[in-house]
Amino acid sequence: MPTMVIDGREVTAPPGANLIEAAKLAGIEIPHFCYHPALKVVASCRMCFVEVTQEVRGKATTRLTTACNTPAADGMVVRTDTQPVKKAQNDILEFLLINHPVDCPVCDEAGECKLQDYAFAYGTASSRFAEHKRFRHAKKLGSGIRLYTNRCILCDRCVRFLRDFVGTGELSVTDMGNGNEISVFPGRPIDNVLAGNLPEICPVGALISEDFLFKARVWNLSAVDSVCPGCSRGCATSLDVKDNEVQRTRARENQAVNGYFICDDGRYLYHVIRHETRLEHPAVREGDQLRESNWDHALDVVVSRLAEFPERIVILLSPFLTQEEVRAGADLSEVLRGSVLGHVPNAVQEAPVLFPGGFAIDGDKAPNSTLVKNIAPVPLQELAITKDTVVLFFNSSLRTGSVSPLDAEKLRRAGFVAVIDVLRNDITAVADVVLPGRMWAEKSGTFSNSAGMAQSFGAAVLPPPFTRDESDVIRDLTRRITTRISTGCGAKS
Amino acid sequence: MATINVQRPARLTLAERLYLPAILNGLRLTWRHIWGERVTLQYPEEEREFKRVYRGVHRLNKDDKGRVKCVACEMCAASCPAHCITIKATEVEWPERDKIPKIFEIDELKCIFCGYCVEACPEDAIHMTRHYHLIARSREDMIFGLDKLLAIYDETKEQEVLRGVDFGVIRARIPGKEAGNPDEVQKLAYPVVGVVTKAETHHAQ
Ligand code: SF4
Ligand code: SF4
Ligand code: SF4
Ligand code: SF4
Ligand code: FES
Repeated sequence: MPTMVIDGREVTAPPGANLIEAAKLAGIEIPHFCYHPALKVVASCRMCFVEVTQEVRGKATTRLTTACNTPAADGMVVRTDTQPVKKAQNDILEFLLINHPVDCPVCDEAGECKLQDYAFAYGTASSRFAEHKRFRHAKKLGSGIRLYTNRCILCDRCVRFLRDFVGTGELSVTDMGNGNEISVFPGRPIDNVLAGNLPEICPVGALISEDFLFKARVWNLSAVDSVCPGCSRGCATSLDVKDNEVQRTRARENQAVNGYFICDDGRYLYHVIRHETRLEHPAVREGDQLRESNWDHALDVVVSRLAEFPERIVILLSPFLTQEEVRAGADLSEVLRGSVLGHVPNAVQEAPVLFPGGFAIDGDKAPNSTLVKNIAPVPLQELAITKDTVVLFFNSSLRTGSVSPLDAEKLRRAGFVAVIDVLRNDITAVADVVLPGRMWAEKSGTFSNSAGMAQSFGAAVLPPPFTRDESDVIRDLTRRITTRISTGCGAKS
Repeated sequence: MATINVQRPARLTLAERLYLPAILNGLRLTWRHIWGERVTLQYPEEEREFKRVYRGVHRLNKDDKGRVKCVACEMCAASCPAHCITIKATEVEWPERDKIPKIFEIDELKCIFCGYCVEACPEDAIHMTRHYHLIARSREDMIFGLDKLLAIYDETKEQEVLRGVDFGVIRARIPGKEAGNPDEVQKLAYPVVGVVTKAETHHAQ
């Protein structure tokens, strides 16, 4: 483990770390554009100059060098604040800003832009460049990514990400010298499921997400740590909220799961929160029709049905529930003696994907399958459902088609179905009581991912007014049942 | 025990005890104002005329093609201490720019007329006019939207109004610049110019 001194602070860096990483450990920021911890080092932007004093052939030598491609070495003395370093930083910024439009007022990156921050911290307000700036039109690159060509500083991060990390390599630097620009090959737009990371990888506002385009200025957003419910991998995300609406999802660093990135499916999943098929009121079946009702009545209908001593009670849990809700469901099945606990496996399955950079997407498109299968191991297909069966189905599915046609068919055979769900679907259409639940962004909870790692998340936005937290509903139901039915008579066994 | 010496006020003189000289003095002042220059005016028949740095109702400027000049950057909203500006942007496909406001609202009731929005605007898109009649039937009507703010521009485009650059003169705090010429500052900063009589227009309404 190399030990060195950076700006007078002693740092012991892990082997293989470069000076940027080592300085970070000491709480010192070395400005950089082209370096990204997940990508190959190219040392092309020259923003990360530092002054290094090191023994070379028995003689202490001081030189200006780029921190990103200098490995931390024992006995190094690094300065990040000397006059030559400051001059180098200022000069590099002046170069980068020669053709840069500085259209920060209309640039979505403003507020989280490295160029803006560094120009403010290490640059000067004036430029000696009096000629016309080069002008390039913005280009649509595919997969919802737009290139504001003028703003690009040619750091090459996007090219390396697609080439080395994703392995698709749609982007490259074309033309020579002053004509350099990032392009796709003619007729071959960006087409991969990690493309949404590009705007985050781009240190400036050159790569912009069309999904977030002009939606909000970033300083008006408040970020809430969350966990992606998109697949059983459980990537760390950050939900950026304004006006009680999620405006975008960003990847949050979690080296144990997703590194620095998330996939596009998870990134754009937040649109489901305000989906038009969202269930917003409890509903109770009257004849052929589901009629809007209130919570008290809807829950009473369920409890009354349970109090009629049905032949069989089946409690079904879904892999979209949080750990807390699953436990509440299991507790309810204890209270309802003789009831059977099972689960409805998620039917949305895709082939798992592994990228050359190590990023993996799971095939099971539900967040909590592992835990649900542990607590309620029996799948619906192995349970007997008859017309004398009362089914309580606790779903909270963000995906249409998460209940397979076979399972749906089976549920239709039940005499009475009460379901908690968030979106209208085949099951809510045939259910006798429909209770509107909440999306992951509207409640707190825990998901256990496919590796068995439990990760908690908090609520980011307020839910629609008449929805209720699933675990709260299940506990309420449990309480109503225990007061209404004397324990032990819940079901004939 | 420490001793504290207290200074007692001197006893009143005879003239002071009589009160009359002070009263006469006061009356003289009143008398002088009665016959002196008149400062009150008969609003609304008469109105004050202000200099262009008067901070009245906002307007949103138009560019030379008659389109909204604002680029929805929200700098004004960010600088507004009263949080009374709401902006939602939208995309347009104009050759020279692609972002304009879809919603631009100023709650004139919340506004404290500080002018920071004018100073913050990088596009010189928002100005403050000399209009100070703010009359509406409801609070909602006092939230001025895009249409209204652009209409105020049409009404006042001949007027010289408060622009962002004026702040440089008034405050003389642009970094690296000399403090403004005191005469210039005085000319801009003292807002009242004179009185206009508007009796006819008001009666006509
Ligand atoms: S990329 Fe950064 S510096 Fe350039 S216009 Fe956007 S915010 Fe400003
Ligand atoms: S588009 Fe962004 S990431 Fe790609 S080279 Fe330009 S500045 Fe770097
Ligand atoms: S004048 Fe001041 S308070 Fe009024 S809108 Fe502008 S910045 Fe806000
Ligand atoms: S600061 Fe100017 S350009 Fe920006 S949103 Fe406000 S009025 Fe529009
Ligand atoms: S970060 Fe070191 S040269 Fe770009």
